[in-house]
Amino acid sequence: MASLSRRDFLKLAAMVPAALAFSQPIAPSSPGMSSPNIIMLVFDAMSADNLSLYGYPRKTTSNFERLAQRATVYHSHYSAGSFTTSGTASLLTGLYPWTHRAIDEGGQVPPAFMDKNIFSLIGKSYDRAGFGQNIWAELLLGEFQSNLDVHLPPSAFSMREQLGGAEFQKDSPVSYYAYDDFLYRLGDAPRSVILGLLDRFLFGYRLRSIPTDGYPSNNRSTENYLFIPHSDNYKIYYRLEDVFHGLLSQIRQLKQPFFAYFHLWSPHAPYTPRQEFIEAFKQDGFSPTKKPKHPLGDQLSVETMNYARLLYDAYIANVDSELGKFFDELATTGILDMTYLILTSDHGEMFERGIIGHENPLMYDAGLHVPLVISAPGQESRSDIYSQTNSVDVLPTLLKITGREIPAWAEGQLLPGFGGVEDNSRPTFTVDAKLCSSFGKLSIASMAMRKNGYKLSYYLGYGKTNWFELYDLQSDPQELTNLFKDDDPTSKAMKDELLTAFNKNSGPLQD
Amino acid sequence: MTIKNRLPALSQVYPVYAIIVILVYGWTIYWALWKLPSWLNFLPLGEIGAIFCYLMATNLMESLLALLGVVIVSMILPQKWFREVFVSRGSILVATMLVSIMVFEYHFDKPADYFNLFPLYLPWMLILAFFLAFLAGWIHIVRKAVEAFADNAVIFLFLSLPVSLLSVMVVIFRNLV
Repeated sequence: MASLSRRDFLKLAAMVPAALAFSQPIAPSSPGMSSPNIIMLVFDAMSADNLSLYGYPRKTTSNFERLAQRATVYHSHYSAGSFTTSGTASLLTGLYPWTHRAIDEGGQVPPAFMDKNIFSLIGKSYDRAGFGQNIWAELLLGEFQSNLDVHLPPSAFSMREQLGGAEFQKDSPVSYYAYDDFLYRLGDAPRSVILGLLDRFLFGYRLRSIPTDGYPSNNRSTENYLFIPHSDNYKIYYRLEDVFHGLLSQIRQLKQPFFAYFHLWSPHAPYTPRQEFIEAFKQDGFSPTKKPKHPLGDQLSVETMNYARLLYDAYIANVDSELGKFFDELATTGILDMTYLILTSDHGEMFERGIIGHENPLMYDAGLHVPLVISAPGQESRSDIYSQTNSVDVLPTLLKITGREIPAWAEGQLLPGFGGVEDNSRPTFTVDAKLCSSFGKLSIASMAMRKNGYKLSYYLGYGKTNWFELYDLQSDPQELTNLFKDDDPTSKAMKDELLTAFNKNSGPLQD
Repeated sequence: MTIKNRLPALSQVYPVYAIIVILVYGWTIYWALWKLPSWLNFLPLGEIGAIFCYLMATNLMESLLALLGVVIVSMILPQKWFREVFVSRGSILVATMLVSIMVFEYHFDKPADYFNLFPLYLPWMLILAFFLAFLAGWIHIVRKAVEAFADNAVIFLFLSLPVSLLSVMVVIFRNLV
């Protein structure tokens, strides 16, 4: 072996700083270099109950579990809302739905709350990026876009997209309401008679050439596009790997420190996993706990629900597989060492009680129990938090991480492990009032309060009588035995507390 | 004969355009009225107004597109067949086409249906539209009735045109500022 001369050594030594500089995946900007980056990945409609990370029998999330080895895992984390609009608004504002009032499907927060959002609070010293692949999340991001430095349209990273609103991104969310949520919305007749026809004809033509290899197919080859990830109502068709690659590429372009809020459509229905993930679960013999049908449900058969569950589980496994590659890339490039990576969801998904999905007012855990995994920069071991937490706790925690002041109006608390304490005696809430006006009194609503391991649900205005349900989540996690009795002290105490909170917040919106 | 000479007179174009406006704007406004209670639930009135501006601007474009179509037909076909009875035949032609499209749209919603089925539906739609259009020109009483209706419909243009032009300006302004 040739010996290294002093000159060679000096040459090599001189190259070290240059090599280090070029190996940096992202160029730090000068102000606030010491501040950590934050990547928040929100998987739409991902129920914690279906993740093997939380003990689900099907191995759906091996990569979540891998990430969890260097993260804090929250086992009793619940969404404050029961569908995208309310759940996402709670994540972004740190407020319960009865306060932020983004309670309608595809709704938004009233103008009085527009400045109360995480992007505004984190401030301009961060490069703030927002991506809502779900248009209902985009409608909220559109409201907050004056606080965003990078605002990606829902169609970014798609194989086939044709969104009218994306052409008028500057006027989001109004342009999305006009074009994508009304004139050209799929699933109904086009509301624009001529251009709607042309729009759908052109999209039908473009979908014919969509590559569907690896996905299931049926006898009608012209409809194979239905088996790749997409939204039923909006013209976005994509491959998961393209989305994750696109997000990585976007992350590399952000200036440090950055806060990236990425809200992915998957694993929201329609459940469209690759064939290989369906095969993995097809013959596993898994049989979920049978639960009684609920009068407010769709009365679907067990077979129908189980088949949908199989596809959903496979879809989660598919998402998890791509997340694993994303996570590896972040680790390899060193981004993870400077970044808080947060994985969560806006709400869950039900395959029980005669129901598939989340378009119902029910307050059972399958629809509300969501994952929360936070990997901190340099974290090397796993930490598990079992006390109950809520999606409204994310905002104050992010503000603490970034060294910002937590506003007095925030309704959440710091998460345990990030300055907060494990406190099961604190009441946390989930609220659904999608049939009410944002501006008026909440007269038809369902809500749940969790406290000391119990959950009290209240259904108001859904039948001739209003009713309560009480479950002991410790001894009855499947919520099979309703313990509510008017003369039971626990029932009475929780009922009084829930009604006090509801009555305080359910009135017409005050400016 | 020059192209200009083949164009129908402006006084004949207005009534046909009025029929188009009634159908095109009517379809969108009909559905928008169904949607309005939902928007009122969570959108401030200003934003609902802005959405209507997008709808009106879009309707203006597609109504002009439909008008262009019927004018081109008039230029292609022999004058005696179409241009000389432009109001009656143009109105019936465009109305039949638009209503047929609405029927199709009401029954099918998947993009694949539009690409696969609409080309099969289109020839029948055209045959029906031209058949009715020529019938309207031949039967005197029908022709007079259609012309009278179309002439009276022109009043809607006094509303739709200013509103649409204002809407276009609002849309441009909102995307510039």
